[in-house]
Amino acid sequence: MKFKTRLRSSFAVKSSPFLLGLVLFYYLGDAGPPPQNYGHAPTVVSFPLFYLCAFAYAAASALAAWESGSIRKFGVWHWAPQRSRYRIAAESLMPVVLVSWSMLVLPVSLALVETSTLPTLASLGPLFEAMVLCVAHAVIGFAVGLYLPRSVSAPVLAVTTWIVIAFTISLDPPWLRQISGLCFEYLMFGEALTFSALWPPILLAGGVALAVAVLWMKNRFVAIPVALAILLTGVVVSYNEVKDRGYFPPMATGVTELSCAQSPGGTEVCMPKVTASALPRVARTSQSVLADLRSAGVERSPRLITDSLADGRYLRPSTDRVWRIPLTRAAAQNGERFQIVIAAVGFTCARPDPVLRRAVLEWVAGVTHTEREWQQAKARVEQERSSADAAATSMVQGVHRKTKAQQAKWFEESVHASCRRDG
Amino acid sequence: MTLELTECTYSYRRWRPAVLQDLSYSLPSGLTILLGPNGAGKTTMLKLAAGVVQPNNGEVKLDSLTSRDRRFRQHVAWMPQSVVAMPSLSSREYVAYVGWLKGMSRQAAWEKAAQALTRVEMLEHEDVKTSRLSGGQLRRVGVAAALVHEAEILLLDEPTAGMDPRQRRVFRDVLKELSGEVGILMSTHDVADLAEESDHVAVMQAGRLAFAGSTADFLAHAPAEVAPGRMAEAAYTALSESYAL
Amino acid sequence: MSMWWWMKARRTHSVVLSGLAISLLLSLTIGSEEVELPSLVSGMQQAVLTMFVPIPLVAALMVSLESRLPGIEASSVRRVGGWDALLVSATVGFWFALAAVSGSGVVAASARNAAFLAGLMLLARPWVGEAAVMVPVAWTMVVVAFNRRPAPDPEPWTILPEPASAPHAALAAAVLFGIGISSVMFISKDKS
Repeated sequence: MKFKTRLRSSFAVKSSPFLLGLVLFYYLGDAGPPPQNYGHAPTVVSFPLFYLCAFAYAAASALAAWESGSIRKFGVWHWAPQRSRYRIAAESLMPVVLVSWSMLVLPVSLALVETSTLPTLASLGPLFEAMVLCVAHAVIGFAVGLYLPRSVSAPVLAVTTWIVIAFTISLDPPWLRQISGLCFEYLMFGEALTFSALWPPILLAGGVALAVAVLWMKNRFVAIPVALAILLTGVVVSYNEVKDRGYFPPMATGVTELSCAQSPGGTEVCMPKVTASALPRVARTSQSVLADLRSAGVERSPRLITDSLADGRYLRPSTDRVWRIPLTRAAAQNGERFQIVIAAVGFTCARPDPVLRRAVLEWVAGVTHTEREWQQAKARVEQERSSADAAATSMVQGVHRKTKAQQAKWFEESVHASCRRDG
Repeated sequence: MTLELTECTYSYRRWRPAVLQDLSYSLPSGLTILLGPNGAGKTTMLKLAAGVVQPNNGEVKLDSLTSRDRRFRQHVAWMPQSVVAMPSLSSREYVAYVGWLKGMSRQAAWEKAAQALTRVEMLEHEDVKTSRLSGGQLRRVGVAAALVHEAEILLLDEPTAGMDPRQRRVFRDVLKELSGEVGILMSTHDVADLAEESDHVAVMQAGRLAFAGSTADFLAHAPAEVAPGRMAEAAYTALSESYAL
Repeated sequence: MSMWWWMKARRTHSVVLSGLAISLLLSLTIGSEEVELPSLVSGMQQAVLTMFVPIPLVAALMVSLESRLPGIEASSVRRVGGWDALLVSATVGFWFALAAVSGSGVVAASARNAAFLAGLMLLARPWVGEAAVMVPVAWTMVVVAFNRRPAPDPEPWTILPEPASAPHAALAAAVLFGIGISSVMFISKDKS
């Protein structure tokens, strides 16, 4: 069949205006690039995918089930085709796969264009994973459509796939979401998913799809054991890989190009290239702070002062020689001097004595001429503490109005949720 | 009873060209063969006559009953071109169901179904689910379904498609038996159907009737030198060409 | 029973009953659960499963209604369209009856949603045929995408996530179901 005819006669293509329209609305609504993406390609790519990949899988499986049912209904299998059944199936699935891929590629492309970001190989990993999973879901949907009427298989698969995959984000144990194919929520600047994050869902869904395809072979004595072997391998290997994982998949950090400046004192100051417009100023400021400290008799000589923005969500601690400071955020508010001062203090524990801590910071703010910033920081902490107190009090008042069982449920869920928010 | 189509125009969608244009036809008694190329409007004409669809203009009447009247359908039997198998119904249940749809009581439909299946030599398959029948067997069940309620008018759309020669012979015998009692309009591509059994012929071309008359008048269109066994085919060809001009 | 063959033709005992049983079972077991789905307006939003549990029944009704003799039924003396309408009404009505007996708001909301989605499907059926079975699914997607307010106070137009006591949702479901049933009864579906 000609390609154009294939497209024209396909139910997938006829459904595409609705599906792609919904995708566009999602993109224009909430799935556009996150505000602080800094042009980081993995962030720009992952954000729309999170909203849409379960939707794309559901569309792929439902449309494939419909096409399969149509082929069965119109008696194609009874025409004794000369072409292999796999070829016929593949050609009928081609429009389905194209439509489901469009649902992923369109918002990602729009996001990249909107942020003027060039994609990198690392950034496209999640997109490729989702596209492969679309194919797997299409194959599974096609197989279901061989046996169930299309009026049943298509809607049931659409809803079931969508819900089951999207729901894994709420389920425990956390590894479920890492194997379901649900696209990861939000890659922060400097982060990128590693290959070990991408292959388990592909192995699981791909294993199921391949097993289902093998079962279609005419030689049942070969097909059944091979299919079982493929299925078991996919399930067992992918499960073993993810079973000990937490809520976040494996990621690489620092995945960004840095620009660096060498100060006369020998300290190198680095910021991500995309935010390095403030680098000269930050380098001068760091030199000034170190000079002020030296004048006060405090010797600090870091080898490297680098921006912690590229560390992603897991901030790495500073050491004596390497200081990791949120330089980009600080520079955006002209607050890089104070941040460098705090790094220079270098408390060696997570919770130093509060009185000593305050005294030290007050003194160092004085010698480095950052008293104003220190006072502002103190006022902010006080304000946040009282705001948090007010919000917490109001929440608890609402909780007290619930039944005992509901209160207990809220408690368990909130303990869990507070740690999830915290990562 | 006389079935009449009067200036019937029909299109499947209002914005599409009409499939039938000002068609007027009165079905005579006996067996009438309906010929015409693909897309000529034969099936549409049969559907109008059966009351399956209503003309955009004009009317279809059976004596005083119009095709919009539910009682009209009781007197008209219709076998569509495509006989759909019902996985949940056996052959006899299928035929009885059609009889019931045509207003027969349950008991009468069940009994007459067996008789109708016997006529088309399908009684031995009465308990077989229709989804398990071959194409030819299913068509015979479709014929039985058209015969079950003993209507005065029988409309058959390519009933012999998929039947082997012996089954065709049986089918023609049934028609011959019925043609004395009912008016039959049967579309076919098999000109041999025409040669042996029909009383009348109607030829459709591009939504209009190119010819309607006795079989003898139809065969008279064949060139004189044509062998007797090929006269029907030659007459049809001659008519088609003259109409096209 | 004189319409026994019609019931067999429509596969009421196999397909419709199975679809009804599955939907009812889902309604009784997980109907009150919520699932987080991506929304246009609030990142992730809780979607009540009462929105989705009627889908198996709606699909089964489509299979049943499409299991027919086109052409022959269009020239039938018996009012087959009426029987079809009765089938759909009885199925949905049974669900309402079960809701009344159980006293469960979740089952009642599911029954209302079944009526709404069945009506939507039947309304689309004369235009797009069997593909109308995807219209209820599309509606749930639109609701999830565009609803700005979570349960138990969603936006009024959404109907599906509304609690059983919402009068406007009941009215909308009744109206749509009525229109859908009318289309079954009166619109010819000759596809012979």
